[in-house]
Amino acid sequence: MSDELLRVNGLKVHFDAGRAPGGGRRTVHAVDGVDFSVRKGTSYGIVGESGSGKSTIAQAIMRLVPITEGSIFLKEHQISGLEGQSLRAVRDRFQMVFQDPFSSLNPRKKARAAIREPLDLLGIGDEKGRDKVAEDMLAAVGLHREAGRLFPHQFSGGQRQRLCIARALASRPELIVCDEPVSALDVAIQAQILNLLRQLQAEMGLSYVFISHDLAVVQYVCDEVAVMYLGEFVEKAPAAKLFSSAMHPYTWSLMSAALSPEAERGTLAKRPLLGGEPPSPTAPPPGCRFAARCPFATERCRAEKPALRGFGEGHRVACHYAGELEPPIPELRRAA
Amino acid sequence: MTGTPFLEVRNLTVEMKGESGAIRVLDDVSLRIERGRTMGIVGESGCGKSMTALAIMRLLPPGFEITAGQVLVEGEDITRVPEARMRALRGNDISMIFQEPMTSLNPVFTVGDQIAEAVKQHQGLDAGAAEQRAIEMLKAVQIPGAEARLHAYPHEFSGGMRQRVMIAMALACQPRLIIADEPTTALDVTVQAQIFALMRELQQETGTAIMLITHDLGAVAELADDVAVFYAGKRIESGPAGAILRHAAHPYTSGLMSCTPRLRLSAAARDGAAVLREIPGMVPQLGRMPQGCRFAPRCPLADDRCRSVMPPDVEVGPAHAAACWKAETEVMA
Ligand SMILES: Nc1ncnc2c1ncn2[C@@H]1O[C@H](COP(=O)(O)OP(=O)(O)OP(=O)(O)O)[C@@H](O)[C@H]1O
Ligand SMILES: Nc1ncnc2c1ncn2[C@@H]1O[C@H](COP(=O)(O)OP(=O)(O)OP(=O)(O)O)[C@@H](O)[C@H]1O
Ligand code: SF4
Ligand SMILES: [Mg+2]
Ligand SMILES: [Mg+2]
Repeated sequence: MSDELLRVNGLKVHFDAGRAPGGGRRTVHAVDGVDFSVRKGTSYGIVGESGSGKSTIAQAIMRLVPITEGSIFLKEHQISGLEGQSLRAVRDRFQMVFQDPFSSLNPRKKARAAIREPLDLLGIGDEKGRDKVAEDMLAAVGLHREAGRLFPHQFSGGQRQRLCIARALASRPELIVCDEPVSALDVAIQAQILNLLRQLQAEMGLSYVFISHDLAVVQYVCDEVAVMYLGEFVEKAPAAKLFSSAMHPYTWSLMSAALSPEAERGTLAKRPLLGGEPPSPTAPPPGCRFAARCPFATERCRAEKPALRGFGEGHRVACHYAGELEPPIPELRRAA
Repeated sequence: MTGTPFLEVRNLTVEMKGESGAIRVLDDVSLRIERGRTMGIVGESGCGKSMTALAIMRLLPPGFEITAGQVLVEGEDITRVPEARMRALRGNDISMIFQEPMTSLNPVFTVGDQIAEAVKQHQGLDAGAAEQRAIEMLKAVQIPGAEARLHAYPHEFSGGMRQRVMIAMALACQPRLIIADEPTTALDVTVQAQIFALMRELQQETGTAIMLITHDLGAVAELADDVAVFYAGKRIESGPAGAILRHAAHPYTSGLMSCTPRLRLSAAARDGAAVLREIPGMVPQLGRMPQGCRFAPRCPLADDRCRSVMPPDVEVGPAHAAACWKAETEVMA
């Protein structure tokens, strides 16, 4: 597709986790073969529980962790293969916003210097031009131009996240990888930041890889969504499709566990809830990785790994029984 | 809801003593927790939720002090009782689950020893009976293989399991009130759902009252009978959960409702035009509170009176109060 901006092919990131009890090494299968692409001007959401590998994907795109297998393309540039000078040459095209707006800013650097940092590092523009860009970016994220003279501790949490977004915007990237950008913020501030991200996307044609553990937040921001479990995508689809007709039992359990201010008291108790917790990524089970917690699992699930299969309109599901199971969520049954 | 509630907080004020004088972190806070009911405490970070809990437990950090008001446990003002009486109340009648379970479990003792110690101290059981009770409690919070896990150390448990252990410890002495400060904030949604389901079930069995501190209105809807909303050290609205979630009287509460993203499933997922409302600006800094209503700088309804005079708490419905000059009385449908 011509409007494809980012393409991730068969990405694997494994970490060495020390010696195994019985000899040999233990390996963490943090990301274990994921494929996706992000179209220009759109947002690609990745949801899943703690430890499923979301941040590792982000770090692989940003080239912050070694890639074990697979490739990543930003337009025609294979960024997974670039090193040194050739990586620096495309480094202005993609930036990242981290979860923690407190630790991702240098406390001794004033806001303007923080925003200029990527320009300084990449040698973009002259001194004066960089200061001007920094001020423009402050304005773009809804802060005062004069706020550039302040240190990070003089900003609130929400303002600090705005600063991080301003810094990510400074080199005029096409892609911003947002790793849980609102998870550390209160709902009131979260709404401000989510709306800011949407507004900047509309104005500048930005693309996002948007990582979150909150389905409602992902639905608000994203055009396409992948659901991740233990290093793998178990379901992916355009957002409208996923939220109207999800098919994977794990996606259902995330939906079942979601809370709503409108819900009746004790709603959770009436829903099918997932027991247990995800197994260790050092020894992923041979069959379906979700089988140990899945209410529908059979012998086949435990023995044979389900592949992602297509169900039309870009909807892909990795479950042996996808399409045959009855969703335990009434809203989804009505839609079907 | 007449008669003495289990816990009543009356006009509680907590101050932090600093070089530049005292700073109020809680200002004239009142609330009632009825026996066997769940009270949700909500509000943005820094609004004083944890301080309220710590003041009730008399575990305020050094430098903080209750400077006015009362905390009545079945009518007894515990801000004045000796520390020995307080220690008896703390394990027996009121127990607390802290936000970060790792800091409140002792890493050098097994989980079983810690639960057993608590029941020995507070309920005077002998060692054998205490261990039996510890096993029962671990079973009650659905820890698989309770007998074996009794001898495990806290670091051998996952986050969700540790939070269950905390709940087991809090319940072991059959308290009449459990204060749970953000008990699931660090956990995955599927594990949070398990913990909430467990809390409800245990409450139904034991009849304990729960004070649930959270920033999530969804958690309030799921668990709470009553709600108190805090803003900048003040309790600005309180009442039955249904009334507050459906007919919020304070503009801050309705602001929180409208900036919470909702999951839209089924057909609703196809109309993409959702817009999240925002509360503009941010919470005022401690010690730099505006003169009138503390929410006035961010409030869409604020006028001159709001900016100059602090609004009183007014009754807007049955057991439903809001501190806002413009709060509308509930209209009965
Ligand atoms: N540098 C590393 N060395 C070893 N293991 C790692 C490393 N980084 C991550 N992991 C492991 O890889 C797995 C995936 O971690 P990752 O941080 O990507 O998860 P996540 O989905 O972002 O989780 P969270 O929601 O908690 O942020 C986890 O089991 C984690 O412990
Ligand atoms: N040890 C401390 N020293 C100084 N100030 C403190 C301390 N603990 C809390 N505060 C301040 O007291 C006020 C009330 O804090 P509190 O911990 O009650 O907030 P909270 O509502 O529990 O917030 P959160 O949702 O972040 O837990 C805040 O402004 C906070 O910054
Ligand atoms: S493949 Fe089996 S275990 Fe995995 S999700 Fe589907 S039904 Fe459940
Ligand atoms: Mg992460
Ligand atoms: Mg707190």
